[in-house]
Amino acid sequence: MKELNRERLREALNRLPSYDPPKGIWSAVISSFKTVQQQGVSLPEYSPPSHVWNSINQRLDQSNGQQVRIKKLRFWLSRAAAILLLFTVGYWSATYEQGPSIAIKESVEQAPIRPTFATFQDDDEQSFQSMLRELEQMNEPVMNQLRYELEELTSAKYEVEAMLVSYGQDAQVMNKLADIERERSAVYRQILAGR
Amino acid sequence: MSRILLLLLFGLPQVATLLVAQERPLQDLQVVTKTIEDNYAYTPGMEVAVEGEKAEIFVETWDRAEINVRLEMVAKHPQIEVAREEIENLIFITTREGDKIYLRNKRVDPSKRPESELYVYYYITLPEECPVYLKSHFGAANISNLRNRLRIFGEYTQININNVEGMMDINTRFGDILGERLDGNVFITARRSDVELYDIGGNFTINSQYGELRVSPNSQLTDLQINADRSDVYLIDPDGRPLSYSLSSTYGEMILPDEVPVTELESNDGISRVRIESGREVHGEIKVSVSFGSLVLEKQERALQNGRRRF
Repeated sequence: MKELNRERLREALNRLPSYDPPKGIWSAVISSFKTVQQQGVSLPEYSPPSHVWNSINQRLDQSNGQQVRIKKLRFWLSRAAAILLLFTVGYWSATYEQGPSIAIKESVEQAPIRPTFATFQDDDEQSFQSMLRELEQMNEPVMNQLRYELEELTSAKYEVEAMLVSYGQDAQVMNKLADIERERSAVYRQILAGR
Repeated sequence: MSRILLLLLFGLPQVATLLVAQERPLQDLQVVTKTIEDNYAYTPGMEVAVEGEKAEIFVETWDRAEINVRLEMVAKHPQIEVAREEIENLIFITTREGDKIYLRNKRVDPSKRPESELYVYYYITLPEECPVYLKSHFGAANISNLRNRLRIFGEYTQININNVEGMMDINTRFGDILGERLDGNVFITARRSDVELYDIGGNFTINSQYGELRVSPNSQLTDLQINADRSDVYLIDPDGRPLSYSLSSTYGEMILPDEVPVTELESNDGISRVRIESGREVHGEIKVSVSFGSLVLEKQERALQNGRRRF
């Protein structure tokens, strides 16, 4: 409710006389309370109506049910977490790859006797190249076939030689080079015979 | 005259001097071996792919669900310091991408010219059902006891396959193939390579150029087709009794045993076609077409090795 004459009311209240209680009144009140407690004066008791207790019981039952559900949920969650953890550990241990191990060993062995290998000389290679150019100009079917063969073998020869340079004088690679040189020589003889 | 000169220049004397053995004083070689070993847990669907450069590759199987890779890189030189330094120019790379394991060796600095002899060896052991892909540039590949899928792309690589079943796709150039006890669907392309196959069954398709083929089928063979150009083909019958053959030769020679009953289908202008009916109950059919090469039917003389071989 809104006071319409607020200022007047305040002024009127200010004009009211004020009184202090006599000395010792509060201590007397406190001592009288103590007396009542000491004498065991009983206050009146009232029994609540039955529907109040029923209502309270009902609410308690509801909250117990929720607690049980929460407990069950926690129970299963903890087990699921444990199973998940076990599965993760199992999978990790089954698929764990430690990474490579590296070892270096030094030993001594006797060098095998290796053949020294001689390929065609540069002059010979130039003759091969001039022969290829000559065949290209001839453009005759049989010679073209032989020219392609010679080109393929010459290309293979370069590949094998490059490998000997890259990985050293391996006997197997040297044998491969010898085979190719023999085939080149055979094709070359066919070309010479067919010209 | 020029022809005679060229013949003298490039002929037999040149070839004869290609390999000249010369006595050299024996000396000790210092050998540095770097070994790298790794294991991978195997799950079905995985594949191992190897790209070897001047490497000898061995592939074997075991009954563990595990893939073991051991790589040895070797440098040999009379001076240990040189061998130690030059082995560092070899590198081994492993990459895992999904279900595929890639293994590869290469040179760190390809322009470097080593004084040492350098060698690389792969020893791979895996479950027999694990598919394998090998790409090899110089070296050798030795595979045995696989049961699933094997693919090989080889250049200047000797390929040895023993007791392998399943799908095989082999492409080789300047590298010979020796196969024994093979069964499955097999496709081989060989150029300037010799191919020897013994005790083979299943479906085989072989294309060959500039090589020699020796093929010996077993009773499990269902289909064999050979297309050979400028190659000699030897069909070897281990029992001495022929299978069913359709043979065709163009500008080549066909050599057949006298006792085999041959039905001639065509014979003119350098082309010869014959049919040989089976002397026993077999389902398979062998079709061979050879041009500019010999086609020979003969009995097998070489005995096969039995039992498992391990590296």
